[in-house]
Amino acid sequence: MTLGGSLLGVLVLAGVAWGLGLGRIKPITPTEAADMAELRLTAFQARETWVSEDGAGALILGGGEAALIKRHGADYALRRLPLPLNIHGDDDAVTIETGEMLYGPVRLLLPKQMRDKLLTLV
Amino acid sequence: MEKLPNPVEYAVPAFILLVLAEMIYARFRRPAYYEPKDTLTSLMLGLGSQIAGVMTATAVFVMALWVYQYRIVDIGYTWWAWIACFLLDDLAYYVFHRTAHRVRWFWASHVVHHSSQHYNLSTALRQTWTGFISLTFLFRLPLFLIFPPAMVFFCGGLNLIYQFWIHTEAIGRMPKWFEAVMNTPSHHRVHHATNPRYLDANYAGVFIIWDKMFGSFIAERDDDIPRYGIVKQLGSFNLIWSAFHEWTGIARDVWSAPGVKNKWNYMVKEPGWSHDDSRDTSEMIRAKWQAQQGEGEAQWANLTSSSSAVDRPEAQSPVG
Repeated sequence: MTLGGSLLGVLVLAGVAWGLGLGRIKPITPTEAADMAELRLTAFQARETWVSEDGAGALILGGGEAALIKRHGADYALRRLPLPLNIHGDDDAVTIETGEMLYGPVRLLLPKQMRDKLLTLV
Repeated sequence: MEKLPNPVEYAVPAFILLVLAEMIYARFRRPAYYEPKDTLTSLMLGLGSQIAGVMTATAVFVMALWVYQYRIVDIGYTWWAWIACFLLDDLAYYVFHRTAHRVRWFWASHVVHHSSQHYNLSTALRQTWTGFISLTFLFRLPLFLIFPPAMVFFCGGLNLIYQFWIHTEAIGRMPKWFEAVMNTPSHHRVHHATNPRYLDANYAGVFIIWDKMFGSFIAERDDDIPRYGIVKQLGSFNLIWSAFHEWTGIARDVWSAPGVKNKWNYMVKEPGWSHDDSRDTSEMIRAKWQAQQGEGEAQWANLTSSSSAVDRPEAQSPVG
């Protein structure tokens, strides 16, 4: 099989996955976010959870550390971050920097009251 | 020298049809089982791996022929030699695979196959571009002291084909006798899992007996559903990053590590090793998890309430 044919095959298969509507997940809930952090990050103990209003990310505070969750396709990718966080807020959201170019910063859409509370905590 | 076909080339149409069938299964049963961007990354990594394989095939074949001239026996192509070759090639695969998880230099190449958070047939095709650089061919070289190179490469192809179908969650458990001897979707799900209980287990290619013989077998449990990927998930579908991220990590660590010994260790120690214990190896993760389990059980034993829902420390949810 030629390289062009193989490449076409790859694109067709990925296209079929897209065309079939695969890769859908429900927005994450606070309980799911806390459970996920405890399950996927060894010895992490969730205390307070902030979930983005679009359900695409979450921040969970543990003892002296935080778990950051971002939606990654049809799953979530986590990072364990030390406190204090590199965090800043704007009109709609707070953004948590991870220092990783490819994982990127995570933006959590939060109501103003929650934003303010979070910014004072971390 | 006999010229044998590459069995993998004949299997490719079946691979494609089975991936399509599994996608249709996912459409009706679990749409999140496949992620189109992840599938594209996996398939592009597979395509790149094929290209890299073609580019380095001549060098590997020349090395095989060089070793073969020092062969200790002249077996030829008798029927039992095929069986012996297939078995020993699978043992060589086990040794390679175990090393690939325990030595960072080899892991840098093999991690590509594990970096998807999904476990489906497209994951089977997610293969490294840097197998030659990480010297993975070394593990097969001893076989050429016994068997003709064409036979070894043919058996290696069959081994690869076998491993395709075990990358699925669509199959639960195979019959007991089969699970006892062969590598199966259940055994291989454990291998791809990041659950502390399952880390560094089930390295088999075709026969699970090697893991049972050498103490690396762990059975899948219904109360600990596998979570796939790597301990520190990539969080990116970037193709180049997926192919080279661990090599980048090695380069960064070797550059910044103090002393020659630490620099060397960052290449040859197990993944997660660090000179200042700032990271966790799989053993450390498992030990922390076991300690946590022990604490949990101790707390459970001391509880007076009968409600597990309230006994468990609940996370507060400011946004409900």
